[in-house]
Amino acid sequence: MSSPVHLPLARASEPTGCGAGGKTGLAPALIVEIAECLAKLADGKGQSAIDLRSLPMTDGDRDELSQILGRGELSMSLALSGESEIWETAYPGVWRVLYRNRDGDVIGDFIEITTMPQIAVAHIDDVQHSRRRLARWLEDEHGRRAAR
Amino acid sequence: MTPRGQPTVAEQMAARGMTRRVLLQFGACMASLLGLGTEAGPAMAEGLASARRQSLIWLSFQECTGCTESLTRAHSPTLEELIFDFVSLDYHHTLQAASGAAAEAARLASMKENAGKYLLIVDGSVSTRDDGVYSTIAGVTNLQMLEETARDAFAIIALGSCAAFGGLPYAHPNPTGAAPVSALIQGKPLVNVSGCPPIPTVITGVLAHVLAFGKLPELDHLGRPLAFFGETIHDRCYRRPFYDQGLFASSFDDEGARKGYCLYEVGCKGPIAYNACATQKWNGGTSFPIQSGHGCFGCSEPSFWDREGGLYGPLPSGQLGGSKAALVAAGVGLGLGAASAGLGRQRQRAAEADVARPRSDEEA
Repeated sequence: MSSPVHLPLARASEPTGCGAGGKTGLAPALIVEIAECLAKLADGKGQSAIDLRSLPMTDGDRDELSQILGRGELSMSLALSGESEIWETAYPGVWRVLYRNRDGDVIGDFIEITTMPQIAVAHIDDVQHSRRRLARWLEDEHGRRAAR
Repeated sequence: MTPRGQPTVAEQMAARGMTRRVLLQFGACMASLLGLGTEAGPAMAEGLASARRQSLIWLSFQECTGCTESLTRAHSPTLEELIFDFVSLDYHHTLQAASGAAAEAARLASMKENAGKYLLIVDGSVSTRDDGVYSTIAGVTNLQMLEETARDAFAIIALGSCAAFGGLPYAHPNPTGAAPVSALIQGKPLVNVSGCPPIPTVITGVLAHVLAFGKLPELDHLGRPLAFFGETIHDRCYRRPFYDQGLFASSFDDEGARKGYCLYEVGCKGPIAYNACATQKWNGGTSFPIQSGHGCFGCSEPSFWDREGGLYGPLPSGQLGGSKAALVAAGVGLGLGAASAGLGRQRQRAAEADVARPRSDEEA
């Protein structure tokens, strides 16, 4: 009787065809759409956004897209539930917005074509709220100085 | 402030140090999950911000608490936990602090104060045999409690396969006369969020849609939100190429199984199961049954416990459509008749019957 064959307990292999890690050509196609949105923005016709998670992108596609778009001057980190990042690509007006949760999993991935992604701008209600908070700090400070 | 002088969701969150950014991020991610398009994100954020916290009454009947566990034990609860900022959970057996008479009083008070405006979630099926005596809370049958609470609700979410379709209690011989919500309440907007349990983000997504837009999302013919139940597991399964090439695991842990082949032969119900498991996955996107080597058992479909062939009997090949793979599968079924007497014979008969049956246009 022959010795038992030990099959490597491999992960299920990825689908054949382009391969999940490979490129499908979706990245260059997206650039066409981004270019149209950028033209619209440049002509004063408004901003747009593309939800990358609504598209069947492979890791290869996402890497290719990041490579083509590159990084620009401004990058912001956003500490909400997790560490999220917003950066301007090498094309001003084209931003990448990447939201992560506490465990570091991506929960949102967008291309925004705009002068400034809306989430970066302080909302007027928050400004009103912080105005009251800062006024309270000043009152308390006044009280602290008077007490000395 | 809302006209009734109560703080809005945004005001309450601001008082706890949460800025509008939290809502904007939530809206963007939720709109993405719901497949609503990027303009819906800010609209959802605004809808939530200016709303008063939505009164929510959660009735738990013949259930296992798995649906509540799914929502509250979400592995990466970032989005899920926010839901509790948007709703005022006025009654929930497992989560509320009050119990006994105080809990029931809280339910009745909320119903009175929010008449016509509260959202009702039901998990578990409802006993109807012998006037429903087999499941009671505080001496009140589930049936009575459902009828009385549904009356002034503005919408009902039947959460989980038990509330949506009857679930496990409904399975043969159904000793308690279990019935789904849809069989008992008519004339109220109703969403069936099936699954045993439903995926956490599916629960949150439906709730967020209702809260932000004040209306139900688009539903399929079984009342399930199309955003999450519009495609089968099979449609989005990463093992599909193996199915298409006719490469199957014949039993658990055999060579095919170790290579990650299609699990049709070991009972996968993917082709007839509508759910988001293949894309959303479970435990914060970690895995789902097929990825872990076990076939889907179609837990989001009606009467899945009583499905012919059970969890491990392969679907009759006629249900797989007319692909080459289906015919290969039928052939495999025939060949394996010797392997396991009972199951093999059953499959063999089914496969022979299907192969013999003239192919309809639909299957072509």
